[in-house]
Amino acid sequence: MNRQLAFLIALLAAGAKAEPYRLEEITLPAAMSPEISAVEFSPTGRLVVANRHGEIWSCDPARRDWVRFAYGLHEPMGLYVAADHDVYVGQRPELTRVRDTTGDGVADRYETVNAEWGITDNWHEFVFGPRRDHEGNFVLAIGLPDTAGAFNQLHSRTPIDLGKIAREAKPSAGPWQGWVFKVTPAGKLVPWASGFRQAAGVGVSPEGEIFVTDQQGDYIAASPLIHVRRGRFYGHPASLKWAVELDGRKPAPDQLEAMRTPPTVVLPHGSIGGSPGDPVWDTTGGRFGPFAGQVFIGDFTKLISRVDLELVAGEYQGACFPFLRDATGVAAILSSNGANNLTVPAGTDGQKYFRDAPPLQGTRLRQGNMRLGFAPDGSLYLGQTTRGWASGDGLQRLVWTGETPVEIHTMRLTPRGFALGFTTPMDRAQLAQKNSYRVERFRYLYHSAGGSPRVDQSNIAVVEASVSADGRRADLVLAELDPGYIYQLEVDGLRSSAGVPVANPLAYYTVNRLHSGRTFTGPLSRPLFAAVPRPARDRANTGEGRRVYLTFCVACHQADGRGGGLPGFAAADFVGEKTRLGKGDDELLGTIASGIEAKGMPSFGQVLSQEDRQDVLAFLREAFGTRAANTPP
Amino acid sequence: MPTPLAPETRGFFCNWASARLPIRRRIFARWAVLWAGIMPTLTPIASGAEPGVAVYRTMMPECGPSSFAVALGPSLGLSYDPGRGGVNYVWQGEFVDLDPTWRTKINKPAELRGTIVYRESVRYPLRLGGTGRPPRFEFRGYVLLPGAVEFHYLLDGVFVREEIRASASGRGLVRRFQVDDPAGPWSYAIDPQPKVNVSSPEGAWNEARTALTAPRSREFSLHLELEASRP
Ligand code: HEC
Repeated sequence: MNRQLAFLIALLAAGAKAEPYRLEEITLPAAMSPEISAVEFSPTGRLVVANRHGEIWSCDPARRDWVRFAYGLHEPMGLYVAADHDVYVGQRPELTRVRDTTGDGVADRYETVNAEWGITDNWHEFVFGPRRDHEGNFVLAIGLPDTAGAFNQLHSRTPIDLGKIAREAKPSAGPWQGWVFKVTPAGKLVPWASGFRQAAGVGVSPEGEIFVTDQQGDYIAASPLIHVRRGRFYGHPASLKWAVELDGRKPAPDQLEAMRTPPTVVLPHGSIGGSPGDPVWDTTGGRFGPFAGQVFIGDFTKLISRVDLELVAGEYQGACFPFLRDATGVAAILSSNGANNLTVPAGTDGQKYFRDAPPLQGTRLRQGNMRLGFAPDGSLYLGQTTRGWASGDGLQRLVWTGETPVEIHTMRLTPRGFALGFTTPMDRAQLAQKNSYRVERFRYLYHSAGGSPRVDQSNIAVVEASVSADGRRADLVLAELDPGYIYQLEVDGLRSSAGVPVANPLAYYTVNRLHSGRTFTGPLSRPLFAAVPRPARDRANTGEGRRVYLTFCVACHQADGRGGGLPGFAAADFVGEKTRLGKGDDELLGTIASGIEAKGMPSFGQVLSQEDRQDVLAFLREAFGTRAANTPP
Repeated sequence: MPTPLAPETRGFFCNWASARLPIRRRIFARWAVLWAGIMPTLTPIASGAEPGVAVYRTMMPECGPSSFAVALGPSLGLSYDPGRGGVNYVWQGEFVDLDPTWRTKINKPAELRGTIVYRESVRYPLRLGGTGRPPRFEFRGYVLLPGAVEFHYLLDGVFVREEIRASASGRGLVRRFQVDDPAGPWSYAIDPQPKVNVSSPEGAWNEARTALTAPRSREFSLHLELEASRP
């Protein structure tokens, strides 16, 4: 298998030379939960981290004199450190300013800056950010909840629209779920753009432009890096419920396609990870190696990727490359033939690894790299959290050793193909050979299913390869260059003039538009939205009913059906109070539909279909109760 | 009734530490060498401004989303609802077990380790300035004070500070409400509370014993004391 061979060669070559990057473990205090969910540096250079248990810790990165600054926050996922004693934190319910006003180094004031978005305690309602733009606004994103978990409807702070929850796996239960939004310095929420599924990484470029990463799944074929522009829609329709201009109208599928701005840079699933986190810009001025100005993205798999952006006909697009991958579990990765790119395969140890190209030698990169932060000394800190999806949490950092990595530095669109820049002079004879390059192109479907296979895939001939005098640039002319495709480039055999192979000989360029301004006008090779037929039913489905119960009822009636607490307030106890489910189906179905407002039982007539209400009642009876009074046993 | 814990903060931290054990164990398996070196030298850090008071924003059972769990001492806990506004309930016993909110991908509400002794009704109970209707409640944050937490919010635009601390007896709590510019009398609607004696030094019960009222002033307080004899 030539892939295995290439890997062996890379391994041998890598063993012979110094590594350009060194991965270090940052030991955390035993009292700190290691589920790192934010990594920042204060203006004085202190390392400040948050974890999912709701704490903020800080230390001098050289002395590692950790102190706990704040605690008790609700799953914070981002920090903006204004000063050592003054931190803005994005937690699930709000953007909060946390301050130490007594001078003891520990926060005492937790001030609400903005809390205008909807929350239901659903497990998937993650809030990301804040980052700060050049006007001083905070930039945040909220993910869509997921019906695999409950929705709490008690005392909701904002109108919660449950209407769609029953029908969609990823609904938008409250305002601005599925949006990127800003909070002004005065504390006002300004919705910015819609169509996000779970924008787990929020970034502001040195130019002040907003970028986010989103997560592969329904409507999101592969995780992308997205340049977020005001008023635009980026693909997941659940968020459109809150789009003022639509006024509740639901766009037809073909309208969605027309409304959608395609992703700026696609990170192909499997090849460039499976679940990206923060995008961060290399503003170290060369202290992190030769990639100044480029974007680094952490991924949930054992991968850090790199993105080279450019403006083409007025819009950003560009190329992504693997940057750092873990060294172990390679056999498992190589043995996967890559036929199914919908899942990232797990290695023999059960961990998920990056696939498709040989890994960098000698690292122990963990999974869960959702948070990245450049330190004042130019090293890159990697905050890791994996809860429930994998294991391994903590903090690592990457230090450039001064050795120049041999890499494709840039991949830029030209009128007839691509120009490749290299970090170091390359073997000019090799660069000039057309067969040094393997080019393929493909695209992904935009549809409601989770992920997408690669479609319209074909090999593209390199018809010309020319080399610059210094051996640092190659210009490729391609047989076909069209917008709407992702171009895959493999340069497995390429070596530097010193004989060192390219460390990561793989790149993907997302061609949304050509320099002429031409964009993809379709058609896609397959229909966008295939209707899912609903199975015929002859009786209530308790399995469906269980799902409805766990989504809509469990917050009050509890998992054991016993409700709870004092009479007059708490939900009915189906187990203890036999008269509850002793009533007939019609009466109970009526109650579920119209509620008992005075007692706090909501009405579900507008939320659940008649079938859902029958299903949930059947489940109540099966799980907790007696049979209907009017049903023979 | 659960046994009250002594001394002061230990009970709370026992819960805290055990709640985190599974995670620790996992880490241990991987980083045994590293961790073995530092574990014994570190002790838990005080969680509030003073031992005994701890404030967590989390998922609480039978509360609005993202409610607070407040530990007011070794054996008294309180849930504050920043959405509805006000105290959801007070319980006696150990603090909450936060592990269910952290353990798995699909998290669950925290588990109460005690008995609920006081509960407020669905509607926000405080009325300012003699208006009978429920005010618009807007949560503005909180401050950790020595031995107390002070919640901040707007009631129909009026800024209110509510300080909550354990009472001197250790068997109850005191809620002190403050406004800068009172517009009228105070009124606090309370459902019958079989296990707690509710009173106000500034105020008096109305005839139906459904609300405590006090004349116009910048300050109003509620004392909640556990009934001595009853379980
Ligand atoms: C916001 C809290 C809340 C939610 C959510 C909730 N309930 Fe209830 N439910 C109550 C309360 C409170 C009562 C008690 C009313 C009373 O005392 O009569 C109740 C009572 C009931 C009863 C008994 C009615 C009777 O006639 O005795 C049924 C059946 C019921 N709920 C079903 C459901 C179902 C099904 C769902 C989910 C689809 C649900 N509830 C969600 C609060 C809730």
